[in-house]
Amino acid sequence: MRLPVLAVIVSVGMAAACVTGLPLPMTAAELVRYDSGPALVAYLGQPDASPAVCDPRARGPHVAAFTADIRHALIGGFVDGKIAAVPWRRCVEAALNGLPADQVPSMVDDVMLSYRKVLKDSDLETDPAFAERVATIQRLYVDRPFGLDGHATVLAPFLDDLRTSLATNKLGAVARTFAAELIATVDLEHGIWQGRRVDLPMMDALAAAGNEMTLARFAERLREPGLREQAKRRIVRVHVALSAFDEVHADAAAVEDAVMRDGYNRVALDEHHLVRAWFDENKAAIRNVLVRQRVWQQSATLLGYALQRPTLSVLPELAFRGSLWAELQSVSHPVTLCDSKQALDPTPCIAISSVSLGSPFTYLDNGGLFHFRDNVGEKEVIPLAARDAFALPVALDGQPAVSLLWGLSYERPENLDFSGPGHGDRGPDLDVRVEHPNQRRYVFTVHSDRGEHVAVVETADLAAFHVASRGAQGEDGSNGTPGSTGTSGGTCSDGGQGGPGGDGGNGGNGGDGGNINVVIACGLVPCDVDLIKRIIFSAGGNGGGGGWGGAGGSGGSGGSGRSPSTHTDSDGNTIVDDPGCSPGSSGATGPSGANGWSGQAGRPGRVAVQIAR
Amino acid sequence: MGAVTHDIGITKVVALGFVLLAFAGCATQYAYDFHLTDPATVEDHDVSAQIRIDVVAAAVLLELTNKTDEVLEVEWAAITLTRSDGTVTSLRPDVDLGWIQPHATVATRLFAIALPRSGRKAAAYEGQRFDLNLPAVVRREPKLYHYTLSAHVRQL
Repeated sequence: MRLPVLAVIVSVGMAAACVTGLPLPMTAAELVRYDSGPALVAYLGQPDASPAVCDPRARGPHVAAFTADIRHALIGGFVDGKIAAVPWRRCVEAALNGLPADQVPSMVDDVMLSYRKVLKDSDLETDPAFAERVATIQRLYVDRPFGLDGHATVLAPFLDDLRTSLATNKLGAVARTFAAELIATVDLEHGIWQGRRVDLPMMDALAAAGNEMTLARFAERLREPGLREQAKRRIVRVHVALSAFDEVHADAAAVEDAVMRDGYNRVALDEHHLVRAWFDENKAAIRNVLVRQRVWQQSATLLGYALQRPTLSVLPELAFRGSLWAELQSVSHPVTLCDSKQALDPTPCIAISSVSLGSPFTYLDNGGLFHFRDNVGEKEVIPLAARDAFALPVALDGQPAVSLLWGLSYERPENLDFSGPGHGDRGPDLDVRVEHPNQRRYVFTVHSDRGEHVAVVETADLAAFHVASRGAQGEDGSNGTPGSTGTSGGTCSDGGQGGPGGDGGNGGNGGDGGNINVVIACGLVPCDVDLIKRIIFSAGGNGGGGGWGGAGGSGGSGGSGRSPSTHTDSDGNTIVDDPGCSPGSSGATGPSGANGWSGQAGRPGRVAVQIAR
Repeated sequence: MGAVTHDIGITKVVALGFVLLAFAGCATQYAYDFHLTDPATVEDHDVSAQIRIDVVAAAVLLELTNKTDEVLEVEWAAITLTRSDGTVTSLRPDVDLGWIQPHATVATRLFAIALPRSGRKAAAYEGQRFDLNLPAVVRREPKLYHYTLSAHVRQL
């Protein structure tokens, strides 16, 4: 990837962060730390976000509890269009399936109370995106596993109201179709379908006509477990009848039993050996991995982007069904991974338990999907620096099958700039090893009295990166004290001069840079040694600034004046008794103190470079 | 409010729907017409289709003929309509039609399609594409049919 593209990606990511007030991209581990409804909405609103964070049984990071605040934020965020339909539905389904039984009704209540509100919103008739969100809530409710429901005290009045609205034609065309389906589904839970009681002959007739959609509804919603099971069996028969695999038709009864037992028709790989495997490029998730390093914490985050979607986000889940294909001995068509058990698909398939990924960054979660550990140690991402691509090698029953290759790049890390610990202290001595395991990257390993710090730098970023030992800046001198105020003058007298300001203190000297021993080990790949020498340096710290001289004190105020006094004698003459006086002048401001001298800059340490052959 | 949906009777132009709206208010009202962008796509060796959109009923009217000698399965629960802006609408029939028998024709209404009726949002639909995606199993092989319609809006 070229640099400008990476710059755009990073800037887009940063811009996105400003929209929510939460930093994006947000990994699942970061979401768990935030532990709030807005954070869950922001997380799920990202491309490739994993709804597994909503599964209380997930192996990976997940929401601790679905409090009322988090439920309301999750539902409100979806209705407002902040979360796409697929991740939202999968999130709520994961929560419903994993929550303790006593917490499920409250969640269903909240979902359906929201549904009641949006069903009467006039936008439903004219806003396609809004209508699809309402449809998603509807599908969530009518397709939910049997037994997961809200409180009757909450839902019954709503359903009664809905029946009335339908009967009195109070709903718009779009709302009416949703409401009619919902009521029909609720009626089915009482064993009634289109006015008739559901029984086996009805199911047989539906299966013979290929009415899979209705049978699927029976399998999900009938109250009687035996009838639900029979509906499932007939769905399998419908699927078998149209299977493209001759071997499915040839062994229909056994396949039907296998699907009823396991939920799918797994192929035994020890009997049907792998001939070849491949990824369907049109369906496989193709991403580029960006490694964001936190060099001082020695940790890293794996983020992803796609060429057609440059927004930086989290890495996606890996499902592989429909994208990973294998040709197996004695199986008439290529096969992919098995579908969910609910699909009741008799197509021969590879069980997810047969698939393993040879990547230390992935793990298989409960839902049969591979997830990335997106927060990892820096040490874990160092070996990747030698590789051109981020490889995900896939094995089937332990046998190497195929690899998914994604692009790989490292975001430019923070500079490894070490300085003395306190004012004027010497920078630490450093031992730096520079390796060039791939023409696209350099690895800097720095040892100091603070431990080991490693950073991977893309060759294109090399000139903008540096390693340094820097003396600490000298302490700034103190400012001089201000002068005292002059004495006030008596009547008719001038004020006294202000006192002089104190001199500013001198700044401390900057610390010397530490010595650096550099070993450049390029191996077989040519290095830009001159550039490396320029970006590894020792520098003295700046001297501390001199303190400012204190300001002179202000002069004392002048004394007040006095008016003249007279009297008239016996001859009528005016006699001056006192000529009076003018007010005194204010005293002069005192002289300011001298500024302190700046400290001297520290000296750079010695840098010795050795080229390892 | 009045509403009319009519078929103009030309085989090649199988999609046409419009609505007359007389809502009270100041916003300009619009009617929609829909046309297949490539009428040749509605028929292949296995399937022929006729499509109309009834805006007032919020429905896509679909007529399918199975031209093969085997039953044809439409995945009725997986039909979608994708608009130019990427908005995807899930469509479902009001009744489950099951398999389409060999050489049989079925007609159904797929619900629910929401469309703006007035103002700039409606006017912006001029020239927009609607891709009807119809997954099916034909001769025991999965197949995805795409029918593309373009919308034309008229000020009332």
